[in-house]
Amino acid sequence: MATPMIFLIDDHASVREALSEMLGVLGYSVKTYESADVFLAASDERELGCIVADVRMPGTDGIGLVRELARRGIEVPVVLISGHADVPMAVAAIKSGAQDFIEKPIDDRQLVAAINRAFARSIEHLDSQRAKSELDGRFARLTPRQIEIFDLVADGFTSQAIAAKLNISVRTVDSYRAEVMEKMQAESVAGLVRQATRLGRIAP
Amino acid sequence: MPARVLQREWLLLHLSEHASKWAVAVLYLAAYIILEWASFIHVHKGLPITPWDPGLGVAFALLIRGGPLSGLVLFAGMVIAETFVLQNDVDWPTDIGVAAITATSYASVAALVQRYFRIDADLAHLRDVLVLLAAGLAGAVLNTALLSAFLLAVGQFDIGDVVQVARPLVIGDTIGIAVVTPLLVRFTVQKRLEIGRLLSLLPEAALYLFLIGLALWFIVGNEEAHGFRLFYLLFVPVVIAAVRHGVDGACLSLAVTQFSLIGLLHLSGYDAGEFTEFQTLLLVLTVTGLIVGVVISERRNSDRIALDARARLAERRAEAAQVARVNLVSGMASALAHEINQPMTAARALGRSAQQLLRTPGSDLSRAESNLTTMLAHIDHAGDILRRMRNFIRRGHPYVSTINTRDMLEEAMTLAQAEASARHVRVDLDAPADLPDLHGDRVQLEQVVLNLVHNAVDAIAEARQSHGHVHVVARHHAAPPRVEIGVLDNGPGIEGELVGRLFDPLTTTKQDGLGLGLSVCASIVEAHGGRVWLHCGRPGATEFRFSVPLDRPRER
Repeated sequence: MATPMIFLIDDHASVREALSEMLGVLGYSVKTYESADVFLAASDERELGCIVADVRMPGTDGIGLVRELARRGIEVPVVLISGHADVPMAVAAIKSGAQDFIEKPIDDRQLVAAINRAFARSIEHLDSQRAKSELDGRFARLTPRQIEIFDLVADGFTSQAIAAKLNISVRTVDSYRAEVMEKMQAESVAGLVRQATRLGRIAP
Repeated sequence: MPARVLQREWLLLHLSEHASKWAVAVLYLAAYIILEWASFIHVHKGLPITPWDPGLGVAFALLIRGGPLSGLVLFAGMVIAETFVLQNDVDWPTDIGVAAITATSYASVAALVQRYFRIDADLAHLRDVLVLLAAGLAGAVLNTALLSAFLLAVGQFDIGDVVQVARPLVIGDTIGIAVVTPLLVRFTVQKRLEIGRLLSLLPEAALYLFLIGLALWFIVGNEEAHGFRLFYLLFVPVVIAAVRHGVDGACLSLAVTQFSLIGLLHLSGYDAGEFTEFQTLLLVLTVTGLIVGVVISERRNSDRIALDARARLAERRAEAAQVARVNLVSGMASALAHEINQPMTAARALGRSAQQLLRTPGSDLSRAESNLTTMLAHIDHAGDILRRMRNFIRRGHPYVSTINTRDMLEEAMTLAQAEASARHVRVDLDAPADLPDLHGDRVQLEQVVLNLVHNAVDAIAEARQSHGHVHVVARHHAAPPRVEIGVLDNGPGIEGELVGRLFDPLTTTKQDGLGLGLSVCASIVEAHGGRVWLHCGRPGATEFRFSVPLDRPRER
């Protein structure tokens, strides 16, 4: 697994450099950007990590950045920092979907804790995403006839009922069922039903 | 405070007022009697006729200050003096008659004078001194006339006596008033005497005493020459004292001269006729000395009043500038706090990195060292902003000095840049290093620059304009010699209707603004002999300028 990356965005060079130095010394990998717009233009690659951004910046501000990322469907956790911190700003930050909100001057323990939380969320998210795409891949390998059987099994039909419905022998149905179970790597009918739910084939 | 306590204090105050009135009356009475006793030299038919009556001067001072009822003090003083101290052989009804006439004459003259001319208590004007002298003379003439009539009527005097006595009586009374009354009036009005100042005057006083003594020795002590011819010598110390110290100098030197002269004449056995001659001359000296003194005092007073007024004006202007400065900084406070927060954030992060590096064995120490160096620079930067802010709003008296123009501009830029940076506006300074020095109040000139930059930044930030830019330009112009400082911005410009009253107080476009800034700027620049104007009000190229002349004559 690649090292998680911190994307640090602040228009004050002094703050940017100092925080980058501190996080570097603490063992993180950091990339710095002088504005949200520069970051948005550069971040095509979907890297594992989190964003630490100032709220007040020329151009797109911190809260605008969180919204823009959501709009683009990029799910990277964002920690917002601000020297102007007040309650309305904190509320707006959290409402916009930011992971955390920290006041300047920054307590490094607070920042590190927030970054670690963000990383954990990021990894968790990545895991579930990976599992989902794996499932999609398995499902894609089913033949149309197997999909028909998958859906019917998931819907709770017995082999006999499926045989009667499709006008084929029970033995043929059982053979299809075994193929489907194997391809989908499902240990039981219950597991197959869960997969169907996650694939959106049936309502949960 | 409870009403009861107030009442008691009020009562005490009034009691003490009454008590002090009585004390004053008794004091004057005592002074009168002592002086009468001391100046009692010549007698004419049982009546004291020395042409020198300082006691009357004391009484007249009380009459001028205390009103006609003080005539009773004069009356009592005369009766006591005639009866117990001088113990003349005139019968007591005549004594009482003489006392009553004298007291009435002077009380009525004093009352008339205060009613129609009102003498100022500190004798600060020529008019007051002239009125006082005229009143003394009028009182003396009236008193002499009435006394002569009375004494003729009771058969004490005949016409020959009147002719002989009239002149010394008039001269003695007048000169008593002329020498003693101004002295008392001046020195009882003084609120406080500065001991240090008095001590510093001692050597000079000794010199006057020496000069007076020398002149008197020539006049009285020299048997050969005729004393009268050398009388003019006495003018020297008196006129010098009057010129140096105004009416006070004149009063004191005249009193010393008069008392010493009388003493010497008495000891040398001069007779009543010669006494009168001397006193006539001395009256001329007294009038001259007093007039010179009061004219000098008057001129000094008016100079001092003009100076005071100018100082007060500067003080008022400084107060207004101070209020405007506090207001200016409070308008910038949130931006400045944000701007101090940045270096603090950076400094903390760098301190933490250095700490982490030092805790980890085998890490790069030079990296920790470089972190600490940068950290110190950030802390200094924050400290600099704080220090400038504090110096800027500190209450101070107007302070005029020679100012290095570029330094002054750079200092103003520290705060201006801090604010501008927090509000994402770019500010730069274009000032050649060879700008000539200015003469004036440094903080106030910084205030003008900062105020103009703040307005520009504010206008840009309020218009939510990106790429805001404020440019401060200082230039030296040769004719007329001046420094012109311009503040340009690419903000939204000045609305046309506002242009005419930009510098009026209470004109503002800001919701929480007082409208003080520009009007105070204008008054500061004008106090420095320059002016401030809107050079261009167009959007995108707005420029305020002010000029400060270089060849301005020094004030104060």
